Amino acid sequence: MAEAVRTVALTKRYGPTRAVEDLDLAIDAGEVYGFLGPNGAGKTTTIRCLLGLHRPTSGRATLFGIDAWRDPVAAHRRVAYIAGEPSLWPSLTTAETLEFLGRVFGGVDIEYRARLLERFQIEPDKKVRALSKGNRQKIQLVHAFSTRADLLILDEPTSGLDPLMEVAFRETVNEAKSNGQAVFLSSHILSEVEALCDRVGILRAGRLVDEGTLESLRHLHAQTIDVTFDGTRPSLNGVEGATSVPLGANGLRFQVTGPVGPLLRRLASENVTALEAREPSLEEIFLRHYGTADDGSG
Amino acid sequence: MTAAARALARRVVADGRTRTVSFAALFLLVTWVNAAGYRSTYPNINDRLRLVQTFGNNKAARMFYGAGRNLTTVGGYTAWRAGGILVVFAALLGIFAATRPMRGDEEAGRTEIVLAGRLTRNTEFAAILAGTGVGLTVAFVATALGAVFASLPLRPSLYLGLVVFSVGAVYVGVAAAANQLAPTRRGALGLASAVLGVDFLIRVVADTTDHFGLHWLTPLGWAEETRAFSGSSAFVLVLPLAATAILLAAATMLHARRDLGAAYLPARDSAPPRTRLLVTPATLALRLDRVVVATWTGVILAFALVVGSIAKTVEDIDLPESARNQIAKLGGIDITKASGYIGLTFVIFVFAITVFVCGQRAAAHDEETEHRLETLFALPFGRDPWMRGRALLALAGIASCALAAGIGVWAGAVASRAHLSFVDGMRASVNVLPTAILFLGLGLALFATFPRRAISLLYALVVASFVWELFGALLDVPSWALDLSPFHHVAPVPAKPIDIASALVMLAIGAIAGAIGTVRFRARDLAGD
Repeated sequence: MAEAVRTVALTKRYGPTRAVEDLDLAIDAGEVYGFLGPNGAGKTTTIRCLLGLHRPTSGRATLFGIDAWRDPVAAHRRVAYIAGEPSLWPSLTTAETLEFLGRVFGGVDIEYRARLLERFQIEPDKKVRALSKGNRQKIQLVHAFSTRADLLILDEPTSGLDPLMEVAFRETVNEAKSNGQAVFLSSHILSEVEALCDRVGILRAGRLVDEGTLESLRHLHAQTIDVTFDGTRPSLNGVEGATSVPLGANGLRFQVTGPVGPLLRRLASENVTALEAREPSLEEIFLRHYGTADDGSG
Repeated sequence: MTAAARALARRVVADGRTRTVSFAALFLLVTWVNAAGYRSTYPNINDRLRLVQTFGNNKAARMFYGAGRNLTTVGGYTAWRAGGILVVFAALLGIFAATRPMRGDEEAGRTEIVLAGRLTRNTEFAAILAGTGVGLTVAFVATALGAVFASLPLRPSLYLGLVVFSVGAVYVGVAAAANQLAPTRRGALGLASAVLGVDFLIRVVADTTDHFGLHWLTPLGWAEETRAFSGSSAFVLVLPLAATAILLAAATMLHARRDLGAAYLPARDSAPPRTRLLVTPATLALRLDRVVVATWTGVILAFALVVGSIAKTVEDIDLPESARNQIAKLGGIDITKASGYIGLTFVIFVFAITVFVCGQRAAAHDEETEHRLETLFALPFGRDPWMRGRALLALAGIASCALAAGIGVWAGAVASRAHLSFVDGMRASVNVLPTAILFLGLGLALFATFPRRAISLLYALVVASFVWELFGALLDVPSWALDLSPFHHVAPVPAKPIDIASALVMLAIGAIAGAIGTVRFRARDLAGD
């Protein structure tokens, strides 16, 4: 079976600006993929190419094997989309908007939609122009999930949502996941991606700089080990794969890449009173890709 | 003014620069072409007297331009033909210039950002008005310059500019008040345009039925009573001045007392669901635009009724033989017959309906710039059917307006016992279609090719073509130059048969342009941020 999303050397330039460069993505059916990057990294451009709204300068994008630019209508029969900025018809009510979107999609799961309306606490009779951004966003969410589409493309779907709605959103994504639907989640809310996604890609200046399961990303990156000593901290330079900075009065914080054996052997001869190790959070991985410290060493 | 207020006023001027420059060019050219053209086309007093006898007293001409004075002088003629039409354009300029930075910015949320700074609401309002006033002043200068370039004396030229400016100012006031009443820019535009429509209708009735007392009721009537180049009744300018002051004071007060984003006309923020017409994007567009189409149809019907009912008064004119001969030279149209008069007048309905087409394209364009097309095209719905649906909707609107024009003139004529058959009315209706379809096709091609500028380009094309048709003949230009305007190829139906060849050419160009537009739209990126 064809992948839900596949891009091959996808490149999009606007005049001299390179928005997306040589992007290769492959997302399986049923997979939840987190697409990370700061503002302007090219996330929305990628999505516009995936949806056939913008034409790739070179390379191609397919959804379930169907070319996104050449045959968007066929591709979109299995896809639902949530835009970062909800653009709807101001004079329609919520119920009318959902009815219209559902009809043009070609039918939705009415029962599920009713459940979602309740879950997201939506007033169906309100006109779109009277709604806040978060409430307009909820209309898109309810429509997209009620299609039960095989692939959900979500562009910063929780911007404007309050924490309660964020919980409802996560619950709904998990339902989609257990339903076997694929989700392409573009976001810069790292906790959201960490909680929901099987696999993560990190975009920087239009290029994919890192990709993998959360496990593998963590494994590839340094873990943090905080060590407290009895009395003054010793000088521990030159340990293979480890760098350290002072921590408090008598501690050291190590960043260890690769095996921790060499560091432990050195510590064995010191008066260690406490040792705490943790894997890097997604935030740390993310920041390492964008932080100044990372610029030279990669 | 504080620095912040000055910055805002400058912003308003800058945002409106395309509009200001286009209108200024129009004002300058129309004034200059009329004055210079009149001098060369009617060099001696005999020519001029003949013109006054025929065209000057013609009710169709009066309907367009008002009742002229001193038409044997260059100034009097310019004040009549250029002034008569420019005051309407000045009103439109005032309406556009005031709704965009006031209600438009408020609706888009930009006003909120401005008011979060150091400006009070009254200062903000005053700053926008100042910016709008700059645009109007440019129109004033352009009109006066157009007259001066054609060697008319400076003082009355300035006075003519002032008359044009005064109507624009009143309509800035009207639009400023409408901005307080309506919650959307579109609503405010509609309200202010409705006022202008009533104003124009009253002026037409006054000038075509010789009830000149009605002039005192409306700004367009006041403009006529200012008598530029005919003895200048400058005291009349007190009326637009007072009206502007009262309207602006009322708008300022209403503005200061309401919540930002709110309006005095009730906006219903919730409604029970009505799923009628929520089937395809085209039916949705029909649902959203049906009030607009109905309003256009209604207004055109009303004007057509007036035109039709005036037709009888034309038949009663007893023209001298010499004048009849002169008219015959106009192309064998007898303007003393209802069909002749209606045939010559109908071009204004053709123009009005092409402006409707521009509005339809603007609504489609908004779908893209406000990103609703992104929502739509992310669904399994293609670009071709969207273009098709929009074009069909515009065609239906064109048909509805054209039918209203034909039925209106026929009903008006029948009611006043003039000689016009129903078939004549229908032929006049059908004669509208080729030009409207031509501009619809061009609009589609522009939309696909120049997504940012498409709408201003289309409006410019329509207005330039129409102005060229109205006044180009006054200039000593070769006939191919006059042939450039599509309006030049609109036969004066029902006085003459429909010009089938021209109609087919216009339809063909429209269809080809529409096809090019559809193909090119397939291949371009949707507008992003």
